[in-house]
Amino acid sequence: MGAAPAKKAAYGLLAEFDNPQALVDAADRARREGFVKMEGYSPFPVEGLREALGQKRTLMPVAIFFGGITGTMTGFLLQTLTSGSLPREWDQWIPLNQWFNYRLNIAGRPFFSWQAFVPPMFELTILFAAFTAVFGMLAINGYPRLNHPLFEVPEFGRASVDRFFLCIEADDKLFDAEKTREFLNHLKPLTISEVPA
Amino acid sequence: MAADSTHDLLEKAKPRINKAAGTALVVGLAGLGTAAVLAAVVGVGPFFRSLLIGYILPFGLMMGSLVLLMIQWCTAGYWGYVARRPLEAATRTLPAMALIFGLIAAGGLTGVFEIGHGDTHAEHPNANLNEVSDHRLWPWADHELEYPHHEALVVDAKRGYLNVPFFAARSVVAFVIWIALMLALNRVARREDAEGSSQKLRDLGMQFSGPGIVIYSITMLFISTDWSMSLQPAWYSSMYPVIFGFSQLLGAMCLNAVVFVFLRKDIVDLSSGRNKKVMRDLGSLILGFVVFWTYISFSQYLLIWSANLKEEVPYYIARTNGGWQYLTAILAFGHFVIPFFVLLLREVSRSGKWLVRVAVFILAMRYVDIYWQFKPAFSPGRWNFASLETVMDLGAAVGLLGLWGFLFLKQLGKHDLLPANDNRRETEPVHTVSDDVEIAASHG
Repeated sequence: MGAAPAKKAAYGLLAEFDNPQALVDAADRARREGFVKMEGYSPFPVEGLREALGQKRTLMPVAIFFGGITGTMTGFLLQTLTSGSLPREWDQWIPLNQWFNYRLNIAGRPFFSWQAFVPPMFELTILFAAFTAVFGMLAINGYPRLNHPLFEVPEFGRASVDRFFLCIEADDKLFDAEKTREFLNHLKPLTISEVPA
Repeated sequence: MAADSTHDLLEKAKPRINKAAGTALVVGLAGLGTAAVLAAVVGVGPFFRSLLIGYILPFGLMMGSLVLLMIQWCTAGYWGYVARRPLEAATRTLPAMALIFGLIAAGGLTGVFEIGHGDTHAEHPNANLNEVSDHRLWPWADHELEYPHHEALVVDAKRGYLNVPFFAARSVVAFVIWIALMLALNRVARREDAEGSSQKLRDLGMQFSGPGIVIYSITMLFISTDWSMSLQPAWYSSMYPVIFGFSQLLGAMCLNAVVFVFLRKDIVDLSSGRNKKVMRDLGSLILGFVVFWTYISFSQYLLIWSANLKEEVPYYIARTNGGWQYLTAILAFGHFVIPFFVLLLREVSRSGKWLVRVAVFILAMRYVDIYWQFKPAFSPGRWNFASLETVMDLGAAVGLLGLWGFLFLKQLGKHDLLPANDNRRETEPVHTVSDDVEIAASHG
């Protein structure tokens, strides 16, 4: 690339590799060097890359778990509160009781037929967990941001085909346009590109 | 890291395999001895019932291993590479297990025993419950048994299928087919050891395994109907064979996890990337299997509960009354809730110790599930829990499991514990980050 622009104007430096092992090794070296703000990009999930980049686990699994539990409870309450499951004596304590608390006599089964409630509870568990996963994923990926500085680098298009990239971001405390480029050079990448902010 | 030579692992693990085999034999004989002594007090009939209930768990571990062996031939995951040899060893117990079943069935069908006492006719809270025979293990084999009118019609209509010669023929054919599959798959393994891996051998393994899985499903449909469902001849459920067969896979997968850790603990580094990945896969598979077991078991209950048919509901009435409801609750929590939430924690399947604990717990629950399916058929009234009969049931179960464990471990020691010529040996995961990286990552 041409002459480096002003230091803080760049988003970071992008190194290109042609196999996943090289990317993992490079990330490993960079982490040992002390870089924290960096990210790997690959066409498919690469085993060990997350550890090599020194990334901590996201809280997504925990969020999805509680999303699922919320779904279970929603399904349970939605059905028990609207089928007359609660004892008659409680009627006066339930707000808007006469509006929704119908006693549903279905083939003479008990009002509180938990067996029949299980499938909707299960479905809502899956639905809420899936919503949490999808929208949570979009949120941590920075949605609604639609563009990303990396898209300015022409080589980066192959990140979804057959190339593996390591980007050290300019936000990193150790980042220095010259020294970081020198460091990346040691890793013997195919190319090093500067990512404009 | 895996041992350099696949033979090393066998050499190092051999003493503990032999020791465990010895323990299993002693425990097995002690259990069977206890049950046999109690048979003199409780009765020969209940003894045969105890044997049948006890037989189902080791039988399931063996058959589940056969299916997992065929599945790993077809799917070729890395877990299959480490699991192959234990699975093959488990299938080689088939001839001995066929013999044991032959003895139990012969005693149960010919009516050589009279049931003295036992809790059979303790109390009948519900007139709809199936009758229990005094003279045969499977009540339909007892022609003198009288059923309530509507059941008598159903049972009589089934006589063309439920009769001793046809029953025996089906069991014999099933065992012959399974033994043939076992011999074929073991033969492929021996040839691979001798000739080295080749596309031709892999294709051969797959050609036996693909149809083999289908054949297993069809034979197990008949066997579950015969051995278990027909204990309540008027009852039927099209979901039951699925539960019966699939539970075998769950049990075998848990056994697999136990064997994996047992063979490697303190011999190879279990926390290395490759072994940790296997344990994670096993943990995930067990979690998936537990969820599917719950799904099919609950489906059966929900459909029967919803339909509320006279021929179907007695099965659940028997299991939710007279003390059996406590066992039902234990099953719901022990076979689903506890393993499900524990296995959701990723750390559990990362540590060999915890993976084994969960697997053994589920195996114990497998026995509870089998007991829950079989025992109320023999004593549909009140569950006489604090009785010698319960002790005899446990004795027979421990005995047959120990005996099978002995046979299995003897077979396990016969060949290398990892297939040297399996081509998956070279398919190392892309990169295994060393442990300090893992630790640094979790602390950083």
